Amino acid sequence: MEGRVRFPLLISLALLVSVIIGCGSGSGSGGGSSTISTIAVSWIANGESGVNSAGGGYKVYHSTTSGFSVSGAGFVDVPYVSGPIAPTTTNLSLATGTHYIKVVAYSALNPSGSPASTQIAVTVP
Amino acid sequence: MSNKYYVWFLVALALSFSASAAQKAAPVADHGAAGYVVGELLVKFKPQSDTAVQGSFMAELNARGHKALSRSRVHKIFLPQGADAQAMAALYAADPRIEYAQPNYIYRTMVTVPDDIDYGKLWGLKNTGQTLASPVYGSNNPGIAGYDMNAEAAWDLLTDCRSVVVAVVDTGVNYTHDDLVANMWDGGITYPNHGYDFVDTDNDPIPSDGESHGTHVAGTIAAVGNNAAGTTGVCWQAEIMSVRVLGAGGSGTTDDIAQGVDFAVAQGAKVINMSLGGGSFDHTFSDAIADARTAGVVVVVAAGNGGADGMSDNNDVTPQYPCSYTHDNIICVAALDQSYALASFSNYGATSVDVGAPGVNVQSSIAGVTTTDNFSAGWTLGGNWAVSGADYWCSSASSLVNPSDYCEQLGGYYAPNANDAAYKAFDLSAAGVLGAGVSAYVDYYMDVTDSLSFGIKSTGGDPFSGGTTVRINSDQSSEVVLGAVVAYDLTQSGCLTANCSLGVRLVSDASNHSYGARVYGFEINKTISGADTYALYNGTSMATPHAAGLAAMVWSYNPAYTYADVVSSVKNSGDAVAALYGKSSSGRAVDAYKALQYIQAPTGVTAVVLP
Amino acid sequence: MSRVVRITLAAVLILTIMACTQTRAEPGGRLPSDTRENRMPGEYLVGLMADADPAAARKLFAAYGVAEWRRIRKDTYLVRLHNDPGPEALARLAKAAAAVRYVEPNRIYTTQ
Repeated sequence: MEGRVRFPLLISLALLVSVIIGCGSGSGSGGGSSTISTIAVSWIANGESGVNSAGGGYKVYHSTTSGFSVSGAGFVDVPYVSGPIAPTTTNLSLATGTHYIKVVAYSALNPSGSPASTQIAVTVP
Repeated sequence: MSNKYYVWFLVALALSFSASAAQKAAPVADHGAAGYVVGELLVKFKPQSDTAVQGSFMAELNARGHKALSRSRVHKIFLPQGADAQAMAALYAADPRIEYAQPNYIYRTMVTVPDDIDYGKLWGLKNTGQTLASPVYGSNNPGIAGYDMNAEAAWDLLTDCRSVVVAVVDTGVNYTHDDLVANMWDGGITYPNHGYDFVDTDNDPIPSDGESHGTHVAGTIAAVGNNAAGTTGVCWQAEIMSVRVLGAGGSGTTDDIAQGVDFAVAQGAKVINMSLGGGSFDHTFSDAIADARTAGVVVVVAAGNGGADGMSDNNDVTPQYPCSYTHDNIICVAALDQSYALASFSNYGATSVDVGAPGVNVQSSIAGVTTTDNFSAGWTLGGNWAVSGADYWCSSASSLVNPSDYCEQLGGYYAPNANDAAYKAFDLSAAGVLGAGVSAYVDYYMDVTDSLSFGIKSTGGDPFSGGTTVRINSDQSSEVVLGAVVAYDLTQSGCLTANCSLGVRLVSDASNHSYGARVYGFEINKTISGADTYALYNGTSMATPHAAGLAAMVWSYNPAYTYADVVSSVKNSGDAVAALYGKSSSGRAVDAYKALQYIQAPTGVTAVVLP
Repeated sequence: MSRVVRITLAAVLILTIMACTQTRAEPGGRLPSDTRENRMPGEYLVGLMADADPAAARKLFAAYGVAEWRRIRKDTYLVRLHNDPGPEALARLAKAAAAVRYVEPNRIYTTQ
């Protein structure tokens, strides 16, 4: 009975460790620990009524690869909630390393959204 | 057994920890104004999400069912009872298995077709492959269905452009026209006639010379839509400001045009349409456009119609102004035909020309009526003046010539010591005639000491006896000139009478003669009160207002836009067209629906690591 | 001669379409007129420096006989001369005068 319990336990512990490592910088050495920091991203509000009403908003994409393509990249959705404009700030939790960020605006009429903004880089210590 | 469950609990914990550590969950969205179908969620899966992943995603949602939409990776998911689509969309917005999740919004899907009688002729707004009767451009008529501005889909979203005043800086607009009167700018008590006239320097920009150009342009932008009459503009409802800077014959000068631009800007126009052109760089004109830019005004201009030979020119090689100015508030427009080929006359330019728009066989409002006179009745022919049919030197069916054998291949010189007048009286006194002009083409071979003149007299009889005489040929040099346009504003000449006499006179001395003169294409143009007349025109002048109307639509739809956003939408959202590739900066034909749908790339992105 | 008449007269000079058909050989072999001059005879737009004195600038043109001097916009004036020396001569005048940014012909534009 002990043997049967120990094997799955080892698997799940290995899974836990690899998942924690996977959360951090993809280009990291994989062996060391990394800290998660909060990054405040902001941008200038778009002028489209569709972006600034129900069904509209922004997607903030980030990657550890410069020049990344937004399709397939991780993102945070920042939808319109209420008031005159959709939010123009959001926070990302990113691990140590350099991250690249692009912002896309979308609307109900145009859900796949605008061309991406110019890419910016931020280095998380 | 408890150990096994404990292990899987740890696994589940690990997975959920990884998900939340990497991303912050989006806030729950409010219920917005848009309606959406209860219990349905539209989800687009990423390419790497295979059917197993899709299945587990839907299982998490406790989906009651799902439907794949065509071959896209979009699925309609039927949510469990009580689940709110907007909340679910927000909750799963950041899920790495999907590109997006959204409610299934409800749109009014009626096809917006206006009931204007001539709508079927407006191929530029809706190309059904229609054949235009009595066309003024013969090629590609009919054209190809679908090659249009996609106006009907845009009208689903917006038809009213009144929040954006559009100034037509042109020959004036007949603001009494049946299909324009409701869409004219309200200038208050200061400008009760919807604009200003810099040609006559007065408060009334009605075309006093009967010129229809500006009225036609205004109709393409904003003829009243869906009023069961005439045509419709790109905008069904609008505010058109009429700024008259071009006079009889359709020509005007830098000083009037620059003042016209200044007036439009000062009076609150946000879009200026200039369907005009010339071949030189003007500091004064450039400065006026720069000041319009500072005021945030979009200026839409014609690419030009190929100059003297009427064949397309490259504006990047031979600049055409204002098209070739580089201010970034300018949109320069080329003309497309019904198959979206470049019109044979349309200028182009990979740098200077921005977009294409429909510009041949364009049906729109005109100022009143035009009557062509073929010299067959009512003319007093003095001296050697005669009427000739087509012949070696004369291709038109009817010409007024001196000497009488002018058109013959071996025609001779005009007589010495001549004082020959040919004239006719026209009744321009009818009530409802708000303005009239005469225009004609003249070919002439004249010696410098001899004169060819035009005469105008409001009380009938010989206009060269007691009327106004205007010399046509130069008194500085002997000349051969073909196809000169002679045009006069008869209102300004005080000739809106029952016996407005118009004529030509040839006076020669004893020496050095030449082959004489020929008058043809003689027309009386009248501006009529409450006119309900329309005509087909060609030109980059006609393409320009398609784009100007669209600029007004885009700005009405997105009031928070800057001029740069409007210019970007009109230029970048259009349909890629082979004929414009390498011939314009965008390679596109304007598309109204796509322009309303277009979203600018966000700017000013910054990221700061918080302490 | 009224302004409207002068504009239409200039239009006669400008709006000529040189037809592709041949023209007859004139006595003396004269060629068709060059109608590229797309400007109003005798009329020029004078752009001044922001701090310039318009009255002093006007005097610069006295030699040609100033028939009209009219403000068009900001620091730009229209001058109409009795004797038109031509754009090149006036461009030289503009270069020599510090108060004058440019002198350019009052050009003609047409419907497209």
